[in-house]
Amino acid sequence: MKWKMRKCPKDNIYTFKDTCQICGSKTVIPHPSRFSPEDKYVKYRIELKKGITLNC
Amino acid sequence: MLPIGIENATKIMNYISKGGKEYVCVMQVHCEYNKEELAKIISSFKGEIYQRPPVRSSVKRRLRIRRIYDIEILDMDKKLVLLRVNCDSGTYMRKLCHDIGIIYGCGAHMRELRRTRSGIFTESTNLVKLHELSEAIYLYKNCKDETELRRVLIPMEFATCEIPKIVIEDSAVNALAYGAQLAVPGVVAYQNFKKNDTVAVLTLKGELVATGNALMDSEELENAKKGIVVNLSRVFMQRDIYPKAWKKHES
Repeated sequence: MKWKMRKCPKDNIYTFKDTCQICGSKTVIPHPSRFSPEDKYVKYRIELKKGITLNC
Repeated sequence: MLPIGIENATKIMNYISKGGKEYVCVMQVHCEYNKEELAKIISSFKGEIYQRPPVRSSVKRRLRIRRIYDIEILDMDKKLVLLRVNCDSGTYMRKLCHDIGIIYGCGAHMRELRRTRSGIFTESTNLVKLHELSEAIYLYKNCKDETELRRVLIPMEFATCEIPKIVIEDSAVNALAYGAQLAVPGVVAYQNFKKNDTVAVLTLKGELVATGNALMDSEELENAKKGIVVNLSRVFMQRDIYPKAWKKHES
């Protein structure tokens, strides 16, 4: 199913539109992506978020 | 947003899940609608409503009364309506959308749903994605870095923030953990509460000891010299964390 709900990450406002009507920034789909307890790529996700290479 | 209690904190979930909820949902109406008319119908749902739980539900399907504190239309787009609903716990959004559709005349169903508040926990302050939890656990296990995990897991005392509190002496803590009643001399400080209110019992350091129903008003407690203050229903404090301070009766 195609998600219709959008949310402005700055103003926390829900809308259908692709841009926020208050700040004009791009809205995002608020629903989280799929998660598996196995979570194979957790290390790479942390590295990407922090911008560093983990050596542990 | 779904508050989850782990280990000892599972006991306190009863108090959390009873709090009001806030949802944002996308309703799809089965025909082209008149905006004003639909808005009027939607606002008429504010207040007490009768609701029968849907076929697929985990509770007994009998008609129950639930209160909608606030219902607001955030956006409209063709056949879709974006709603924000503030309601009691136990209100079914899917059913609410369905009922709005029936009253409007051409039917409607819920397309997307998101809970943005559950009791005191809100999306903007407390929401943690499973991905973030997984990252925190990875950092804790492999890098011995617990800062992220400490942000993700919050103390269970947080859940008692809306309940009146009673602070007790350290010497009474272990007795309560062993099942004793809380008597007046053990009380150090308290907030205002009425008889039969749910109260939380804390240590001087602010650790949760137990919850229960008050057996007297706080004004009564002020003048009381003895007697039982709280009828404890749940004890959270583990035994022997605090030293034993009562004398064994030798016969």
